[in-house]
Amino acid sequence: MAQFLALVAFIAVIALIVWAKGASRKALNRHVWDRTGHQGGQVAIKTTTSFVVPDKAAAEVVRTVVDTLGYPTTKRALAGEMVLLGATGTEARFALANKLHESWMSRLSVADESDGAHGSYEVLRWTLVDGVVAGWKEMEIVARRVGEITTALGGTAKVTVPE
Amino acid sequence: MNEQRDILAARSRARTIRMVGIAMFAIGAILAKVGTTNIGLFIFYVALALGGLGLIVHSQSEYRKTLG
Repeated sequence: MAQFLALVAFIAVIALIVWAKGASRKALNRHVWDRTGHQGGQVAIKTTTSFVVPDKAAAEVVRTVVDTLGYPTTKRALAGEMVLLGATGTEARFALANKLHESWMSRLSVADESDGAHGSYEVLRWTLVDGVVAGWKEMEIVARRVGEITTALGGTAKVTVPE
Repeated sequence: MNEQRDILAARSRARTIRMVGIAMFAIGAILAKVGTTNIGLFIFYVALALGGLGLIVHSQSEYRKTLG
């Protein structure tokens, strides 16, 4: 019985050390080594870009954004690149991914209203690498580009970051 | 149209740089891990691996430029 308890205690200590090492690595990364990345990533995943494009149909807005961004529809074997996962008349999904892994996925959704097309762009799913959001710079760039494209269409874009 | 072609070419270039970087890093890291008695050669292996890492980072920033 004593031997069994010693074994359990030994396993618990090993598990605690492994957990503490992982947690301290993540904490160091978030607060010391990659502070900018951590802060940028947290903002990027919470950001929603809303827009209104007067006198345009939702399908036209989606098509323009997809065409202007010009992302491929097939994932590369190794290199993580922006891809268009799919597009309909009211929605498009983008991801930073390769064939094995999706770092994050986002959605552009647009609806027809009486005064034009109303829509939003937001990141839906993301992954963390050592506590920091993977591909947060690409998230920022794509969100900014969506805002620019809808503004160029004659609309107004608003960026919201909840606290 | 030309702009789109330039972007595609830049993306392809970034991809090639990344592949070269990955190959350099892998070869340098494996050789450094295997080790050698020649200190000059060892420094070369480490430099090869670091150069590969540098190329990977550079390719990423080149790719981001093509996103806008």
